[in-house]
Amino acid sequence: MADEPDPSVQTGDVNPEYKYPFHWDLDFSLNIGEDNRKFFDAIEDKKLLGKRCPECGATFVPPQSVCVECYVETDEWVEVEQRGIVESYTACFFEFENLPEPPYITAAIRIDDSDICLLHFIDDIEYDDHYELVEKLHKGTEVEPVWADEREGHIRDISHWRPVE
Amino acid sequence: MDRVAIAGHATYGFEGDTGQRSDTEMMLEASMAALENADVTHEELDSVIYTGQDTYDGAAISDGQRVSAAGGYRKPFMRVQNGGGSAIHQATAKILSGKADIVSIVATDSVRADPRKLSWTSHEALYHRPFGQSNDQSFGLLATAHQEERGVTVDELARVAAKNYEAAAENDVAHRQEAYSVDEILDAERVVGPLTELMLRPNSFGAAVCVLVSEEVAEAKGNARSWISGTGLSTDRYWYREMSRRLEQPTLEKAAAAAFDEAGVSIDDVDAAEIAAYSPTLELTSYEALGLCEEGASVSLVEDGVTAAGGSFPVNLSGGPLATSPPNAGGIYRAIAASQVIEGELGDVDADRVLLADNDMHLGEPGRTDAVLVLEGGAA
Ligand SMILES: [Zn+2]
Repeated sequence: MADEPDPSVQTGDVNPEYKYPFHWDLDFSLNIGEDNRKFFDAIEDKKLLGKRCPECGATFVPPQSVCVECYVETDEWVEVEQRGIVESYTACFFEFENLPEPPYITAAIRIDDSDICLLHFIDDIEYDDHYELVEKLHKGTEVEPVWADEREGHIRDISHWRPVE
Repeated sequence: MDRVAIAGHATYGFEGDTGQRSDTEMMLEASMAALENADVTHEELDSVIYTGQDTYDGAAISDGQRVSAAGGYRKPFMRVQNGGGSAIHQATAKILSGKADIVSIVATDSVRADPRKLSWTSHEALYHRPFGQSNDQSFGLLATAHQEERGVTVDELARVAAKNYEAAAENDVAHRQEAYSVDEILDAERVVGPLTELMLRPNSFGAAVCVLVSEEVAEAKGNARSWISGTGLSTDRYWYREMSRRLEQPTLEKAAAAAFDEAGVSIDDVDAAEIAAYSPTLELTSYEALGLCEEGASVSLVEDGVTAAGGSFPVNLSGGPLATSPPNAGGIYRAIAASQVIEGELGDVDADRVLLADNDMHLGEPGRTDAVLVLEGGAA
């Protein structure tokens, strides 16, 4: 992954080594469904919603339409506390297009008493050198959402999460 | 009839580039060589299974371009996207059910992609897409959990990698053939969390083909190189839950249990293994999931040299994915390596039974499918 990008990957002319550049340019759209729509509507109002399983009582944040332990439909909506626990995290040192400048942290965050985690960024962490960042968080670190000023019903309406002081 | 034999195999590559070949050219070369190796003609071939992923072969869904090179025309041809181990599992089922006597499984890797771009298409899940969840980051999440929950150090992770590179240095077809030291591994560029570039697989280009035959064919032709006596598959959910559970690798455990049950053996009857571990964390936790040691004791297997090339249970005599990792052909190649260990062609071990653990984790860890095969020696 850390290799220098191969120039032959860029679209343009066929290069002298006869590596033929190509790319897929496909736009997709998908219907996100009722549960997701409700979740994203709430997120625009700075609320976090989850769904509960009628059989085992597990709560899913973000909502899932089915409990995959019981294989029954979840039916009860709950607004959950805006606190999360870091389940695991990783600092990425590699630069991806359209993503934050590295290093940045992606974490699996368990919100309130959710049975599943949400993947999101954690920021507002102070560190000296980049490698210190790798050991800055811990399983169990408490985090809270930092809301974006302008929200549009997207997961990035939460700009990132930050450790609770 | 309860056994299927690996009768032939061949590879082309594997290096950092295709050596000016196209994927069909590499596939054609490997496929013809594998059929010859198996003493089987193209006419005798009943069916072809192709294993690969759109993003790694540059052809959205269609296998059409590969049918001819794989020798699949006028025969049932299918694609399996869950990795080479799953493809071999399906080929074995096909033969055991009487649908075919001779099946070849083909794979090739030729497409280079811009590593700065992340393909959201292969990492589904609405809430995960915008966060840079790549395959490497899923290994990073696991590595962090492994360090925090089991106290594994970055030096210990590097020693697992060094063990694999030491084996790879003896393997003629390995992509990374240098016996990197622990320090070199630690000093390599950081990619995700504690993992450096040398703790993550390279992207290898090449082709691998394996020919499977029924017991009858193997008896008639006397061409069995090794026998597949048990296979198992298991798939996990795509979601983030407790990382501790993920470290237990429940799908690997389940797939192995199914394979052991079918072969009528346990891990104690196995002499060596090829494991598709895309990071040192996954190799260590695989030891535990396979029952090689108790939870938390995997580091000592490396420290004591048990899983080294000269140890009592060598793991990845090929060097494993850290040394050679074509995303499409990796599983087939590791099955070939496992067979070569039994044939006495790889490593210096007297192994009667070798385990192959493959998965589709080149796409990332969540929602993975694990495939386990038990290979045995012995003439037809
Ligand atoms: Zn339930």
